[in-house]
Amino acid sequence: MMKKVFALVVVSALCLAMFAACDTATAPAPAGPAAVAGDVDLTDFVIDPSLIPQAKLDTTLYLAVSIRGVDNPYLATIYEGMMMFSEYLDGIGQKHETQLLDSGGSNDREVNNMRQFAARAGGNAIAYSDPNENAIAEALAEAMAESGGFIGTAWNKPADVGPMDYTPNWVIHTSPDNVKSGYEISVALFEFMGDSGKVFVVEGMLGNTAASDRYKGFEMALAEYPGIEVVGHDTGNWATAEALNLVETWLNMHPDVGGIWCANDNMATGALQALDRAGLRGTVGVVGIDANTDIVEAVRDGYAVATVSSNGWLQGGYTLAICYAAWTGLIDVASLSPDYREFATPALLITIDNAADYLANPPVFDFSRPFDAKDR
Amino acid sequence: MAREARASMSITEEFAAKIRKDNQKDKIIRFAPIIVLAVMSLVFSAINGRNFASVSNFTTILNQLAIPLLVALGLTFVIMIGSIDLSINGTVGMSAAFLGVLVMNSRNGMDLGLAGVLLAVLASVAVGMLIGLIHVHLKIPSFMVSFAFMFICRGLGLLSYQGRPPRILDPVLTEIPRMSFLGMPAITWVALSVLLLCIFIQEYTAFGRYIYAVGTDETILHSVGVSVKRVKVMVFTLAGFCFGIAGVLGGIRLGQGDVTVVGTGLMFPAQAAVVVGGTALSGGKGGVINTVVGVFIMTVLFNGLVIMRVNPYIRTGVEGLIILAAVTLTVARGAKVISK
Amino acid sequence: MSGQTVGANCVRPNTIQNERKLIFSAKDIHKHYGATHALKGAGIDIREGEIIGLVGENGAGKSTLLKIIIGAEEPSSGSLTMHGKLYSPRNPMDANRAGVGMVFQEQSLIVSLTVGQNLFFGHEREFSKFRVINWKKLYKEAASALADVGAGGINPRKKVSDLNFATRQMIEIAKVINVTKGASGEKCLILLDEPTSVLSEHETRNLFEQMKKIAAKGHAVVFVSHRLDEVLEITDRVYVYKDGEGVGDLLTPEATESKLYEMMVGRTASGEYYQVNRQREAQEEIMLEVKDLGLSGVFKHVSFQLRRGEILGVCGVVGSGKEELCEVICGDEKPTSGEMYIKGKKVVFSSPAHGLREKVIMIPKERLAQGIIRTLSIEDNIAISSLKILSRNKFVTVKSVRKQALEWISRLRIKTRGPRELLMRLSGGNQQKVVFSRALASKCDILVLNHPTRGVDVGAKEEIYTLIRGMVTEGKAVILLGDTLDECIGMSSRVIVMKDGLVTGEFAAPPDGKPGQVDVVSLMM
Repeated sequence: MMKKVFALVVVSALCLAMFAACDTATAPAPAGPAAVAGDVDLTDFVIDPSLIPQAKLDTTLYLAVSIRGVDNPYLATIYEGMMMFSEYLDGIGQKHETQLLDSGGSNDREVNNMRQFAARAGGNAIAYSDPNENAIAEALAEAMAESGGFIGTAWNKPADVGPMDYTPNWVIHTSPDNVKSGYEISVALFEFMGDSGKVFVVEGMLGNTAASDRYKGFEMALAEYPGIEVVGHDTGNWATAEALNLVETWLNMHPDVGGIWCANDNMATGALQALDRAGLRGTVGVVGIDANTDIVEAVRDGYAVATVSSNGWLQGGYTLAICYAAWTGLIDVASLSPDYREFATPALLITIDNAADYLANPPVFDFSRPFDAKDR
Repeated sequence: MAREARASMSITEEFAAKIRKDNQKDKIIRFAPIIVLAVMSLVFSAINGRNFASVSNFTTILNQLAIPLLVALGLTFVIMIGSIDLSINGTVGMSAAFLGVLVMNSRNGMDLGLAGVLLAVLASVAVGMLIGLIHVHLKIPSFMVSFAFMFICRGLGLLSYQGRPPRILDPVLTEIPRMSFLGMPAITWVALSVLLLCIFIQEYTAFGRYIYAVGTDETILHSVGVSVKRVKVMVFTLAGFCFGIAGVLGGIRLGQGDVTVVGTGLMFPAQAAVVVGGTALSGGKGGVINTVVGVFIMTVLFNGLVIMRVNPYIRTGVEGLIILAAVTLTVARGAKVISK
Repeated sequence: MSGQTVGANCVRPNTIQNERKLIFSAKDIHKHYGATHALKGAGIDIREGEIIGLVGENGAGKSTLLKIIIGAEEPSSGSLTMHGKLYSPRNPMDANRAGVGMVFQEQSLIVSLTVGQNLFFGHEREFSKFRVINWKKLYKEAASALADVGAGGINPRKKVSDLNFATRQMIEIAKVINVTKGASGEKCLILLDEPTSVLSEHETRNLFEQMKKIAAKGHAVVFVSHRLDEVLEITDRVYVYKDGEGVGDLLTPEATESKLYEMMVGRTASGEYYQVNRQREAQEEIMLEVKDLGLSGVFKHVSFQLRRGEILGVCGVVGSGKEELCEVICGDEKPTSGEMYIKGKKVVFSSPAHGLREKVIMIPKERLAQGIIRTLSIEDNIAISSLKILSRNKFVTVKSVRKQALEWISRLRIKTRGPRELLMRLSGGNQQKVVFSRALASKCDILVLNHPTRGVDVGAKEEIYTLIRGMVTEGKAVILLGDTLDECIGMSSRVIVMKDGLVTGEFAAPPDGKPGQVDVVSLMM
């Protein structure tokens, strides 16, 4: 009996602590009257705070990013992108609150989170979402549409559904071009190897869209470089340890390998560790995607050849900025052409030429020009 | 009367024969894991002997074996007492993360060196002990307690580096993955010393005997006045120690203290290794040596399939099928009751 | 019933025995398990160097008494003394310390450990330095402990799982003697519960040798067995138990098998109690016939016919094979030899479900473990075996399940608040009625009743007898394993007796000519 009481006390104490932490959240304010939507030229569209009615600025706007968690560096930059945009909003005097919707990799949880967030905000909500799987993108947009808020999605959605189906609430869907990234790092790797030699290929999780797109990019490049021979090819399931094991095993058979292509930087880290142990670090080229700090540093120091930044700050911050423009009425979503509703965000190839810059200068974004996020 | 006696004798004899047969079966099953390993190695050598049966590949196997072995060792004792520990991915990731933020790293100004390593292991030991204490004193099933602790530890790990995993910069620690002694990687030497410790605990201490007894029949311990609760808590603590070492080595091997990078995909291969090795999930049977064989089976299987360059789209499936086949051969199955 | 005390019942041959020193004594021990009064004032005196036999039917209270002596159970009342001092062990460890050890029927060895490790389990400290066990020392000690009981041939480094049962038994004995010897300087008391049931003739001989050696050293041994010939051979004195009371003790030379049989059979209840007047002659139709049925290592050469409207009683002690016979008949075990015919059709059951399809059902002995699902309601429990009968187009409606339950509740007068009540809330007797309801609802023709009145009170027993009589009158056939010998004989129209896996006798049991219990018992033991 005492034990049960004790357990109850502990649990209630924890709950209370959590509620206390959430206390800052206040009830949603009623939506302000929509401002006049100007006929804007989108290439040079600028958010002009003076055009935003005071009533909107005084309404508390709820910002959220809905992601799998913040347990990897890339996802952390998305969250940071929101925080940067939040600073911008402070600058123009927009009352707002930010929230992280952490799905923990569960579809149900992500949809529920979004539904609760949207309902609580009562229409005064904008969100960036990285749907856990293609299938739930529509459900997320629907959740937002029901309450009248605005959402922008990134990476995953089914081909046959899109922002046009939920005008105006599903504002945009963006994705870095994975095929292009996969291609660019391959070319960088093959050039490093002098157009010929053996490579290992560590794919991402099989059946995953990003993984297969990146590999498609690799195959395109491979076709252009006949001197390159693939001598090891398997999946590392995005995981460092698995990539390490694979490369270690292959190195026994092919110590003369010239390059290792990895579908992401986590796996590139594993490949570098394996090379390190074999005393081959720096002589064998390694490429990855995602611009993890350790790989960018390795690129800078000459141990890795290239990586690609998908630019999470830009994805998170600019998506929210575009949604903000829609919420304030500065843009009329219905009048946007389809290529402004679905577009690729610029990815940045990082090589030895720009790695030091990339590390030294944290990116600066001008959130008043949100469509800079569109890859031109 | 005499006829009866003779007839009844034959029933006793039948009974004895049955027991003998069961014992023989038992003996064969005891050697099944080693046979599976031998057959597998032979097959791989026959197909691609030049690459598979080479010294350098054997070193690679030993290197890849280290962390799965540590995890499986901790789990072995837990399974031997008939419990389960699902916290593995969390505790291993947590101690890697703690190691990352406590030694010289890319995130903060800490530089505790060896003390950082010890603290990281200690954290995992504490978690193991806590799991044990909650399990026996609040009488919550071990799988539930440890499952909860998987999340708690993950959370603690993430919290320790606030989302951006630290890279380990400590000059000694970064050198370790490159070090080897007598041709065997340093990390594997550490794993082997933990293995020796586990063998010692199992074979040369009273605690080792009690682990078997708890898994067989707890009442036996009651009747000689040994505290079952104490044994269980100690087992979970020991498991925490093994997971902690695994986390620290994982962090060192991968050069970073990332909860998800180090603490991913360890648990189920470890469970499989323990079971394939012949330790019964119901407890009381098997042991450390079985687990060593089990881990070898799992590692050699991965290594062999990769060397054979099996198409990655079917490799995972093939791996699963072979594991299933190995378990079918190595696990003693009762006739009537289907085991959990 | 419990008005008589042991003292009044005991005829004590106080001759030479008094010269020896008393080791252990129990007086007026009572033990209640809920409604069951397992021991009704039992007593026993044990002297140095004695080998005491303890005999009685199943359920006479022998095992309960042993459990109390070893500290596994606490007596409800009464007092124990050991070496003249008050003795009240709270657990077997306490008992060991006082010099009492027991070899349990279920073996208490840890099979994945070696012989030596088992012998000194829990005492490793004595061989440890800095917590590290000195195996050499332990095994040396183990070898000498084994040699002490004449089992020097056993390698103490062998795993127990590699040894046969007889060897394991010897290890158990060595362990017990070792534990008790280490614990007290004085003479010990060793309890052996059915130690010979798994032993061969030769192994039994060896065990007896050891028992004699132990006794020669002044220790005392209590030997519990169903095998009277063995009891008469090895013991010095025999206590006979019946219905939870000691009915007397005899010096072995003065005892004979027939004398013991007479003492141990229970009182015969009136024919009325078993409603013998309702017993009908069996009909012609043969419902079940088994020919030369056998299960390897358990029983063999069992043949009988069961007719419509007949109750066939199967008598035998625990381990006689009667329980397994029932399991084979209802499909829970596959026979290794022989044939079974149901209404002339040859059947080979693959499972109890298959048996059910052929209209054979068993009411199991362990009600809680096998008979009912405690956390389900009455109606669901009743419906489990009759879902096929109730279903229309593969679906079962709540309504039909409830209707069936209500019908059986009223027919069997199950005391409950309603069909939705959970089984765990009912008394034992009412639970058993639910089990009967389920069996009857399944519309089976052949019912195997395995101790149908176990653990139910007197009133409920009567109702169950009425129920069984009603069933056979309706034309069902019943195989009955009675809770007592008296019940088995009283209810049955025919009785077969089993011993050590063989049928040793068959008695017709018409209402006016029931066989005597002594006759039956003499074939059982």
